[in-house]
Amino acid sequence: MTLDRRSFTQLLFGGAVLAGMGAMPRMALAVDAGGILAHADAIRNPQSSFMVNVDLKNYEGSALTGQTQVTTLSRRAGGQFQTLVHINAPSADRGKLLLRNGNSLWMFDPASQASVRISARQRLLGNASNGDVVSSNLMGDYTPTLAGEEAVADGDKKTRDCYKLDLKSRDKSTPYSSIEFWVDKASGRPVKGKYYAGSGKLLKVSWYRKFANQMGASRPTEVVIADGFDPNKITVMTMKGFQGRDLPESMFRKEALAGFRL
Amino acid sequence: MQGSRAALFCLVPMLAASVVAGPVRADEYDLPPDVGLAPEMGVAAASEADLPAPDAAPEAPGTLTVEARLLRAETRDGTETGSFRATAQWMGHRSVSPDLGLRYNLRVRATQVQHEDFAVREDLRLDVQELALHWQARPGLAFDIGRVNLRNGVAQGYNPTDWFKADSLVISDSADPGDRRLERLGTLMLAGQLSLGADLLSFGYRPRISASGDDLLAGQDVVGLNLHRTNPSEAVFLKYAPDTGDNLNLTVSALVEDGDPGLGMEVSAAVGQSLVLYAEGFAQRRRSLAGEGMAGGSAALRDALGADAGKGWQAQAALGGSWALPSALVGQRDISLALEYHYNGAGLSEARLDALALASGADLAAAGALRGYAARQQEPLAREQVFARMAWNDLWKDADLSVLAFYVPADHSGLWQASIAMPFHDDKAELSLRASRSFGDSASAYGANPVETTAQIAVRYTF
Repeated sequence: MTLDRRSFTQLLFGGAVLAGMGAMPRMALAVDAGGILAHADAIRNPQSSFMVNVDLKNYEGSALTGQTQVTTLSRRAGGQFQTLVHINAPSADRGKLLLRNGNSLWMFDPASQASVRISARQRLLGNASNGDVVSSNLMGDYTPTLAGEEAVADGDKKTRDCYKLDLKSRDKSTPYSSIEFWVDKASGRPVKGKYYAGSGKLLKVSWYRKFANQMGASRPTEVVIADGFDPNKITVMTMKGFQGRDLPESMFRKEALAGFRL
Repeated sequence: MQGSRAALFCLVPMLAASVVAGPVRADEYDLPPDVGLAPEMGVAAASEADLPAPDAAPEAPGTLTVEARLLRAETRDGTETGSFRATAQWMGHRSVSPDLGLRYNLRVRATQVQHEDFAVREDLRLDVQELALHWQARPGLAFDIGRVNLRNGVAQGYNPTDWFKADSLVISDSADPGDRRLERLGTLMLAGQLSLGADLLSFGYRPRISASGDDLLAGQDVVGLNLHRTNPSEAVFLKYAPDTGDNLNLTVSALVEDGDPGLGMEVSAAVGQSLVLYAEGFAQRRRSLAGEGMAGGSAALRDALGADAGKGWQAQAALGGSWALPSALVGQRDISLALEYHYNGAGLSEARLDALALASGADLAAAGALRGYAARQQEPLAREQVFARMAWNDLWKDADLSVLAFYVPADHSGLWQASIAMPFHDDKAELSLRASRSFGDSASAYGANPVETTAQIAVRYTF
């Protein structure tokens, strides 16, 4: 399969962002770390299954170096999400599928009808990952502590008063060992995240922005992701066209990929 | 293995570079990058026109790919041959109604061999790799009828459960199993899939096609469907994939081919973030490779190879794993290694490989026929072999490097292949280079291949 690593991880992260696009309950912001994170989860995680189109643009510095368009289907399952990503462009990758079901990750190529299982590490590389797809319920995978309050720049470079949460991984299967996560004190919206490997290396930084009404609630429609190794490598993901969908569980199985029709 | 050595040579400078690069200062991430912000902020904005339609569920159009490929091969005796091949491949899915669609994968290829005249009858081919109707009978139940490329298995180098791979290749100029999966003909069959909650049950029937000669169903010039190759026997199959949680993947299968039963399974699981372990196995009542593929030969050779033994249960297996190198070693680089052990109970043991290597005189033709048969069946000739692969994606910009090797411990023969693919023109075009070399004694499992070295260059464009 020729889908390159950077596009692949971006696609998966695309699904992660989608996971933040579902129905968002309007709840009172809790003051403890768990409550703050649960509220952010409620913004990031849809409460129903859905489909959305995602446009990913890669930049090196300010130069556009690549673009990928996908349609992502996400199914709510046990507090987490099963995700199927259909690649629409570029043409060389058209029709390829990425399936994520828990810790099971597959790439399917319609030309060969072959599914290849890959490791989670391959989705951790670069300036995006599917960690937010897999672990979109951060409360389920990380232990939060309130590290304080900080004013940080959001995705539009506007300063926001935020709660800063330190998240520690609860087991080795999570994509990140730790996360620094900022949540807007006033709205409870996710503002920024910094994601670290077990070695302490910064893997990526993401900013949420362009909040708009989607599926009945105000949600970010764009995420900017900077590579933790090279800040010049940027991905901008734009989501549009959310639709609630009834997605059967059997669709998210490796053996079903050959018969998938968008 | 030379392939592993090549992988090591690539790895060392990369690791050094990783150490030298040093950490990025955290304060570089205090502000978001400017890309994609509003024009008044002096950067390019994401245009609405660039985005997919709001309620789009874009139906993928057919994909047309054209390729030009130059090939150079050198035999063990130093003879060089060259050829040029042009191909156009059209594949996709066309909906006829909400529940009915046509799946197709068609290819036209023309080959010009150096110092030979181009003959349309021999050098122009239409390959109907797939052509099947897909019918969604109801939610959770679907059928395919026609030529279907059914592909099973989780291993990378050899798939014992991939029942219908035998004699299916239309082109065999790559040793990479991933490439070979692109070059095979589907099987004429009726297949179905039933969802049972999260469980999936697949089933199908493959009829025997006994056409031969210049029949359209067989090897007719230019347009022959070669169904006699993909449908040499009658078979029914059943596959069951139970819901085993969100890590372990399990599929069990059964095949009955001309009355001979076979049972198979594949399983895979991730261990932590970087490692995937997998295994697949298939046991079938059949004859050995020597029994199936060697019609002639002296009584002594046939006896040495067990070629006259009857049918029995033959086990085949592939066990292995793939490891993505952690960021602590390689930073953001995407490098993965795979290692597999292959067992073919129908193949030749070390003693029988020795006996095959000692074939001489009139037995040479029989030995060659057996080697050719194993290659066409896509089965390892040796009972045991090892497979390794190193993949380095985005080695330089978007260029991907792959190095793979097969090695037979019994006779120390093997084959390595290296390839690099470099996309350009917004990833619609690709320039690829490929080289391979077999090694080992001239009568060994891989060394007996008359072609010792190959080199290829190809340009591909996808519309």
